[in-house]
Amino acid sequence: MAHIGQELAFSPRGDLGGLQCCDQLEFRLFEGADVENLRYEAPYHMVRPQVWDIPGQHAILNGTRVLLAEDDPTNQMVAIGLLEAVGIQVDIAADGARAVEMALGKDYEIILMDMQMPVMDGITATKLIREQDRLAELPVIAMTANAMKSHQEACLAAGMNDFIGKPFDPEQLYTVIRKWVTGGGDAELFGGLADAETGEAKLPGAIEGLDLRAGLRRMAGMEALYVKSLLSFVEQQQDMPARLRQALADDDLARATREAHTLKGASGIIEAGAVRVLAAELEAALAEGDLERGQEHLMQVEAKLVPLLGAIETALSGDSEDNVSGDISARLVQLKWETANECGHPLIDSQHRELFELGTTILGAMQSHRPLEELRLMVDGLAGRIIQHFKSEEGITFAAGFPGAPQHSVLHQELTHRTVELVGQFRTGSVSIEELFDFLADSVFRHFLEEDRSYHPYLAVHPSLPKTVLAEEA
Amino acid sequence: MGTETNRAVIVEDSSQMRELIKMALRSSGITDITEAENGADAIDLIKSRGADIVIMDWMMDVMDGMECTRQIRAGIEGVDPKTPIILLTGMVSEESEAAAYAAGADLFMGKPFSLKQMFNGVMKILRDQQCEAVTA
Repeated sequence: MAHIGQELAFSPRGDLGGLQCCDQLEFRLFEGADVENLRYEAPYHMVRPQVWDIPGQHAILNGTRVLLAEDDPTNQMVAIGLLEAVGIQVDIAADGARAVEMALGKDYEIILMDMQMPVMDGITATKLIREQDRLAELPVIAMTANAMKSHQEACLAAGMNDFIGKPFDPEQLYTVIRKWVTGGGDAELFGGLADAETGEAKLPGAIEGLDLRAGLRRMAGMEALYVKSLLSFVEQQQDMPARLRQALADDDLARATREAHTLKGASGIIEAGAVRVLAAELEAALAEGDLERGQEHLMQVEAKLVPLLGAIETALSGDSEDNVSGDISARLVQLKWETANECGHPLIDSQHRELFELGTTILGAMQSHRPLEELRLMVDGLAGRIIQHFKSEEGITFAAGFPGAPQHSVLHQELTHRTVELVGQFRTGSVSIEELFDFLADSVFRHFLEEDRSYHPYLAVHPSLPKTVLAEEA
Repeated sequence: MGTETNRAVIVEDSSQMRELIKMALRSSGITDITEAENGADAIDLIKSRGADIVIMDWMMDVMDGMECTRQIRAGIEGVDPKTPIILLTGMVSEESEAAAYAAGADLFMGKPFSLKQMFNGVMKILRDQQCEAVTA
């Protein structure tokens, strides 16, 4: 048991009170630490590896939602250290009853269950969890030092799925968690059928826009099948916005609605959550015959779909970018919107965010070599929105008494003029999309960021933003 | 359970989805699998080859799954009106579930499904079929 003031620094795979730990972790307990509630309140200091140190094979565990049912503070601390080292999000339940309650209240991917705990033991808690329909399939892993067969059988009979030995062996801990949060536990049902048929496939640890673990759970852990499904998604959905626009142009609302419906289903099965939600909204708008809202939603769908398709292709093709796309990637980073940029006025912030996303969408479309006519339509849309945005922004800044409003208005006119000019030249082919975006990124988008800083002291209605910090930076 | 004699028909307009359903069917031991992209083609297929299980999407071009189910149940020459049907939909609600069962579906399943759910659904239908065969 750790005591106050003791420094818990582990030498490589050192041993402390029967608890093993890997060499990357260091814990320190300070005077006055509340050992009972160490997880949340103790001012302990922990050095953990940066994200890029996460061993490649466990990268997929990054972000996993784990419930740890464990009453012993030292065990808690070691488990948290090991789990957080690979980016796992850990919540703690200090007894079995609390574990049942927390499992019902949140969408965990796995529960690690201690055996002996106060109030309610692990076996009883597992039985109660299995009585809940929603939790019937949730993996529950016994953490136990008891290797006796009768004990293990009791765990399985209660509905537990697997075992992790104590003291923890980090590799075993990660391997067992990985097996169960990526659907590997279901693979037995299918006897590796899919992988045998579709061959080897290697998924990266993460693909932006996808919940890879949830996707793999849908495919019973069969990576090759998931990869096949992702490729099929790209093939079938890359022209979806164009097909939908064509259906609208043909006045065929039923066909347009079905396009949205198919995208919803396809993105659901691969676990592209954001696209699925937006596709559902698009489908609903079209089903109601609301074309205006449908157009709006289509833009939003596109803003997520295009980067998703690009991310899947990049991740699965495995080749690194050539010079051109490398250049574009640099600009994609430039157009990345951060919450920290916000000026604190909800309308201006949402418009700026939207314009950044739209810019990113177009860059993504450009990167995935979309037809020029499609890019032209998107660029027209972006320019129109920029001009509209300047107008509504000026209404707000003048009304709020922002002293720089008149100068900004003049600048907006210049930017509008130049944007319209360049978009026209892009349309006629005398300016390339790269040149157009050089201007947009360097002038228009940079202007958005600059004005957000100067607006902040006058317009911020968001209480959580510290005004001084942004004011100083400016 | 003699599944090697089972013939399955998948009726679904997305090839991505058909692939997954095929995987679940093969895992349950069914190897005779044919595919259609809408309800009208499905009826032609069932007439010509017969089917022991049909897995069908609701929303499709030409003839949707709901209509196809209704027609099969109402009786089509050359099609067993009791052919087991699993109806899939992305619109999961109590009303759509009630409508699916009212049309004559044996099992209603929401999308997105997992391979395991699909596998369990197919196994359940095959078991029910066996029970009926025994009691009949």
